[in-house]
Amino acid sequence: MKVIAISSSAQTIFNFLFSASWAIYIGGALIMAIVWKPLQKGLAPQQTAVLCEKMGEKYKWVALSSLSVIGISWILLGLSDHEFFRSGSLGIKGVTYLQGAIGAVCWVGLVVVVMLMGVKLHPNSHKRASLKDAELSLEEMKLRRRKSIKKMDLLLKAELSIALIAVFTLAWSQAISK
Amino acid sequence: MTATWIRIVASYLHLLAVAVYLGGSVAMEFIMGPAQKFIPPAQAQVIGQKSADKFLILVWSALVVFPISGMLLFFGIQDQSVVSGTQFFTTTYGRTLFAMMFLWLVLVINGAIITFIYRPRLNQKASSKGGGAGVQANLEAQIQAAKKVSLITRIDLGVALFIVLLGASMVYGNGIL
Repeated sequence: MKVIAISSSAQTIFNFLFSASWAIYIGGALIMAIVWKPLQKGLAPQQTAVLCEKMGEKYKWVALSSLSVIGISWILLGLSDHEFFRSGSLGIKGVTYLQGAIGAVCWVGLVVVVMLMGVKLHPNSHKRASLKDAELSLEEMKLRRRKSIKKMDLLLKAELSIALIAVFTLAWSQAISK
Repeated sequence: MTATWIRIVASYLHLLAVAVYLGGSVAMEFIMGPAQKFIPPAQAQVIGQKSADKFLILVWSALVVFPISGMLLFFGIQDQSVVSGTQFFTTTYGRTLFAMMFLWLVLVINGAIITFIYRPRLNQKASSKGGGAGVQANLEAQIQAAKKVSLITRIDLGVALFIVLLGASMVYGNGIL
């Protein structure tokens, strides 16, 4: 059973958008963790701050655009051709339902993490002193910034872990659907 | 037929390799590269070298994983006769698979050109050999090498995207070529 009917060419395009967006999103997260993070140790703090600010701003938009495309193409692919809507055993349906649920939870988790990092923590860690902060001492400002950076590191690890679980779920669903 | 868990592991590695190659290239070329313009050139060069060296290790790992995981996935499909014998070139599925293999070879060749020809030129330390003209020539060679690496990386990015399209066409049909 198909909830919506689309041609196989359209399915190919949706699957291409889904796969390419996943690859771009996860590849970006991996590069940040494997290449950029260790590099920071050998850099002067001012340069790290400049690079972090510029890269973080772009990464946020790349990540959010990719996650949006993943969400839209996934829904369209799911509605047009998903094991769950085909006639089959209850066991297979149960597994595909579980995979879909894990995928959806991962996707929501990733959107929340990226939004938290991009909208709250990243701007906080690069905030310059303003008149509103005049009453705060320099030490307090530094402490606040350090806290944001620590939370960012934690969220980056969470992001990568969720993304790897999502890839595993995708691999699992592809492996049993063939 | 391959066992289910082998197919899951192969599929996982295959997807991760695509992510490292495609997503990594996008991040290096469009996120890390442009950000380096905002710091002093000498520092940018050091960061560029270190990040590129690490990224090349990831790229080569992905290029090695592609054929191994791809073959394991191929042995997992039910109807392997679609690419047996001459069908490899006469069926849409076979031609699409062949194109993917050919494009993988293009990525390997481009990777080798960057690793063994242009990276050593970029890593060359400035020497006073040949005087001011020598230093200038060295700098010119490095700029040219950096431009070529960027061009090849963008070509690779296009090729990788096309490979993903070919792969996507095989999931919901029999290929597109």
